Amino acid sequence: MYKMLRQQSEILNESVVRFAQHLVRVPSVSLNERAIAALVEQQMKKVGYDKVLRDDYGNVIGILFGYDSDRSVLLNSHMDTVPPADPDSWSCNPYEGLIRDGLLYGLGSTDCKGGLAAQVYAGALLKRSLLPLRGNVVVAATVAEENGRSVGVRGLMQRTLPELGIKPSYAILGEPTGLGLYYGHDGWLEIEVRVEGTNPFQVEDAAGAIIGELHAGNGTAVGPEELTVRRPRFVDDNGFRRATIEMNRRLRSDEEVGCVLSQLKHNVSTVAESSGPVAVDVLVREETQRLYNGQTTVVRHITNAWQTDPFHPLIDHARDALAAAGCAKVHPGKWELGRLGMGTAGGVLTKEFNVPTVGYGPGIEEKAHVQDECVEVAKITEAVYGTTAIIHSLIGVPVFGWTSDEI
Amino acid sequence: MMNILVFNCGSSSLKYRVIAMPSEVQRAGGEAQRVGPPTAEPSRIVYHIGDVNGTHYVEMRDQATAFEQVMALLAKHPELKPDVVAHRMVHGGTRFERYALVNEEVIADLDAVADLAPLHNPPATGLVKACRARYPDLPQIVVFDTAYHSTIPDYARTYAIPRWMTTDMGIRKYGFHGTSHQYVATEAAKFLGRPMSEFNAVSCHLGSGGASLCAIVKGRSVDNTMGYSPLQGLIMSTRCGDLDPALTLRLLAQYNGDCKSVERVLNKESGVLGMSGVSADISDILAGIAQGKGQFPKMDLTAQIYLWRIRKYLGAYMAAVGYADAVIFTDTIGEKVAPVRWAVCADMETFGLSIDPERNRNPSEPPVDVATESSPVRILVVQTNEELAIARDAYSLLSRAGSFREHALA
Amino acid sequence: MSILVIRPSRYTSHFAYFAGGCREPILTGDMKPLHSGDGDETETVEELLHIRSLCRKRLSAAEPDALAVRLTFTASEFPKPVVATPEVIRRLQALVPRAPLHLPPKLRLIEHCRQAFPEVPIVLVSETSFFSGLPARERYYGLHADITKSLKLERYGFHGIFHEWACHYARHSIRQNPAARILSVCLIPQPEITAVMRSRPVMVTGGVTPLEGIPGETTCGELDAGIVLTLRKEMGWGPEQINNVLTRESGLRGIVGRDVTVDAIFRTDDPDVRLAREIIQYRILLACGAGIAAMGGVDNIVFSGDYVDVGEILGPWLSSTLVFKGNPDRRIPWLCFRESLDRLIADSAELTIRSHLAALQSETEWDRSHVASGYSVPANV
Repeated sequence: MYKMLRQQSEILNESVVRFAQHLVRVPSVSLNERAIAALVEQQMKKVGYDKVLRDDYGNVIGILFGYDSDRSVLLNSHMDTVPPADPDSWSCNPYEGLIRDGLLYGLGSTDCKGGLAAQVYAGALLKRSLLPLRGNVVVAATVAEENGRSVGVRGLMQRTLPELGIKPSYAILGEPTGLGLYYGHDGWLEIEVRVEGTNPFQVEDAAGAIIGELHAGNGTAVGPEELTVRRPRFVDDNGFRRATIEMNRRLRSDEEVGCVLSQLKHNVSTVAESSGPVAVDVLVREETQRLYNGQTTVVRHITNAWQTDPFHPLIDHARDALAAAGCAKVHPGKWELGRLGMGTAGGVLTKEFNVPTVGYGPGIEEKAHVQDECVEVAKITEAVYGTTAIIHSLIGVPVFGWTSDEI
Repeated sequence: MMNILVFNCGSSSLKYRVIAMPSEVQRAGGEAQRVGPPTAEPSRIVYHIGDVNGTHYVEMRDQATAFEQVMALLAKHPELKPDVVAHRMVHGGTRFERYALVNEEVIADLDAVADLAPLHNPPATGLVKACRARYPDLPQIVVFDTAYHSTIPDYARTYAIPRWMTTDMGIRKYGFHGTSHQYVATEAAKFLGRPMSEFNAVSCHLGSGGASLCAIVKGRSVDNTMGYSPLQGLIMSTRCGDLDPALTLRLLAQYNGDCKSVERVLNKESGVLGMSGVSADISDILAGIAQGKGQFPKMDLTAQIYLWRIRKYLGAYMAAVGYADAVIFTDTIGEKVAPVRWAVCADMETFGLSIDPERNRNPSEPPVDVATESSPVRILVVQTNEELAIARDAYSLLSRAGSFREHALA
Repeated sequence: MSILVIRPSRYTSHFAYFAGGCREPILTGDMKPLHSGDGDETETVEELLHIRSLCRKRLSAAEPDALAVRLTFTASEFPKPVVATPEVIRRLQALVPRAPLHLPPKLRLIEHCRQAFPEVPIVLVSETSFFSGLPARERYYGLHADITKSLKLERYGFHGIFHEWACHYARHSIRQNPAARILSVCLIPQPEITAVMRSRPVMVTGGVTPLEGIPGETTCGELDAGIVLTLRKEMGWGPEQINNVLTRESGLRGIVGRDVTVDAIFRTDDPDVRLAREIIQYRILLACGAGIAAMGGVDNIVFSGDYVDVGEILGPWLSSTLVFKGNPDRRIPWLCFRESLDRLIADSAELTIRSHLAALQSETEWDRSHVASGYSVPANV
């Protein structure tokens, strides 16, 4: 089977790379995914998905139906990118889709348009290979991941898929893993500490004391490298002065957001008390956003830490399948998430919807959100093949004992 | 003169004998039957001491309890105090010759080969350990079942898999029930007045737990239906026998790659028990059909598939042996269940086999010939006595090694 | 009757065009594999149209009377060849999960044939049809009844077309004994043996998949289940990887350490392949013994298949080895059936079409042996 799959996969190499280039050429900063969604939809229809639709959130969903639909695999990549930091610092046009020395350059190439292209084509490969599936394959290109904290995925899981009668048993993220199998990452919490009082000087003192305490890393239960604290903003409002301190804090997979907040509130309140009677509150930063199709939604800035049990059958199956398919040896690992604001939809999928999730994508984490973002072209094509092998081991009709040779 | 206590730890039974050597007089013996999960009949120890017979009903969920119960029975008779304990061990892998005197090193080696026969070696090794803990001064000997099959030629023992698996991983046919096949072949040759070295036969060891056929040429094993593990070959009480390898893979995928679950399914939930859903004992099934319960299609089908597999292998091994002198039936099913012998041997004149229905139905005490007068190939029912074979081995080891007490001290 | 035979495969599909009355095809060739380009599948239809025009040129006749498409697996669904109707296609689609690599491309090709030859009946000739009457005692494994049922585990043979015609030939052409008990040895990359009483197989070496049975050129054949579990435990391989090894790296390739054909191991004295030859020969011997026991005797051994010539070596050997006490002088007669698979498929299709027509015209049951008695016996007998 793998020989046949590899052959079929190679035939698709050129078109998947072309598609990835195309994706890069269509700018898709978060909340502006309309054009790229149209492109993805069109491509899914072209390569033969059984059903292609766009949901209320603007997500594009392509489905291959299996023989019985009690199990489904969700392939998820986000369509959006972060805004380009400084286009002038790029060595090439971030929207050109330039391929140089086997690397595809462009904004979102590694995070995660390369992965998106590979996932869309994994479905195409399955279709062409004529391998029967027991369960369904759902490829979801989602919106508002980078800025929206998985708004697209949450909507997909809350409404779109239930309405289609699909409950994913497993999810594969096309986020950058360098074709490793990643099973989780730590999270980030964006927090606002608000200090409010009638005496403006006391509010300033309290805010200052809190900043000092936070800078020293006291009372936050994380090290200084896992914390960023901004200078307070002051607002006078109707006889009150309010100080808002924005901070970001690393969130480990074993930490509960509620506990972290109440502990922090307790600590900063104690610090503030010495400055006089001020009210202190600690909140997760919230933001109202308008999606590209006009819908509005309130976003809480939490990137959930998450982890799928590294011994979960999903990881085992995926690793065994990649080994059997003759892919380079993979070691399970986790995303580093070195910079603030990075994250994946894994938190939503595992924690809110209890779907075991693994990342398998062609990009490389260090190349995400940086100038000259790029992805190896060969990894995109390999990801098409590898993803297909994983899907087949999860929900394909097993071919044990058969070969594609004539018998 | 010494008393040898022989244990034969099967998958669902624990046989024991106290045999006086070198006179080969059996002074006591018995069998803990239906050890393990409950079957249609209760578990019990059927025993005899001298000429006195008895049955002791007691629940025995595992071999260790069975061992305790047997020792308690024997303790009532001081004259039966064993001088040496000998164990039958199913799989010696490549670490052991025919037999070994137990010491720490041997126990470590036994642990190392435990996985080769996951259903048999661990309880037997457990028994060795229990015995050593309880009676540390008693010398123990283990005799290996795989030894008789070491003469199986390369073309019959090599699987068609990459060569390195055979050479580096030791994946090849080992064969089992060797002690029994060798014993009954020896007795059959004696019975027919033929030297073992010129004796050709197919030996059918049909036990209540495991079962295998052995092709014997010039007294030596040339093939056995069991293979690398006891899973291959005939359908057994709870074991599946031959399977399409793709099926094992299907099961493995279904259980998320968990070998223990698949092993459990193939070893303990398949075979007669799995197919019939009623009992693990084919005699229960055949009796059920005879009593008119055969309208349950599962029982009929179970019996058909069970008997058919034996018959096909008998044909295969008759072809492998060529000029067979005899077909030998032994062990619980082979000795006691006439319809099995009949179904397997009827209409086999092509092979020179002609079974006498009357003699087969009411055979005299074994060893007995149930073929027609004119049958070119004899059909013999021979009582297996692996325990005696083991006692002989144990005695010869100890005699060769000089005083066994010295040996035990060493 | 002129018949275009197509043997579809994942890789190159083969076709052969038989004009009425000719035993040899007047046109043969290979088609490009399905999906050889990254576009859609119209190219396959175009290729078929091209074949159609070639047929016309060669033979001034307009169209073939029928297309015959060989299927490798249809479980026990169709005891005889069938004309492809929408109902038949639906039943085939339901069988896809049981032959996941084989049925889908075949169904696709049938669709293409339908487009290229809209007026021509398509007869589906299946390799497993012959085994649809396999007795239950041979069909089922010693597994738990629930597993057998839920996974639909049944044994099949996978070379029914060769076996069926070879046995037919042995019965009618040599001894005129319709009750003959025949051992049919199909010599192909993975040899298969079946025991046939009258026209019913009672024993076969194939399994749920073609992996079981006699080892093949790359397939392991019969294997202790414990070995699969050991590979999982000691190598840490997943089932897919074990499957790769057992289907691709085993058999003759595994034993010899390089690619060799079944044909080649019988034609060389190379010491490297001796063990491989002995293993195959021994497994064939055991299977023959089992088959004889299954039938309670044997009247003929017949060889067929791509490597039928190996029968010239195995025939005398089996005949002198399958000798038993009490009848030491008896030698089992053997013969080789050399007809090509294409021709047999065409014959099967022709019979089907004729019986179809006959049933329509006179509503009398078509007697297969009646037609087949007019079947010409190859010259080599």
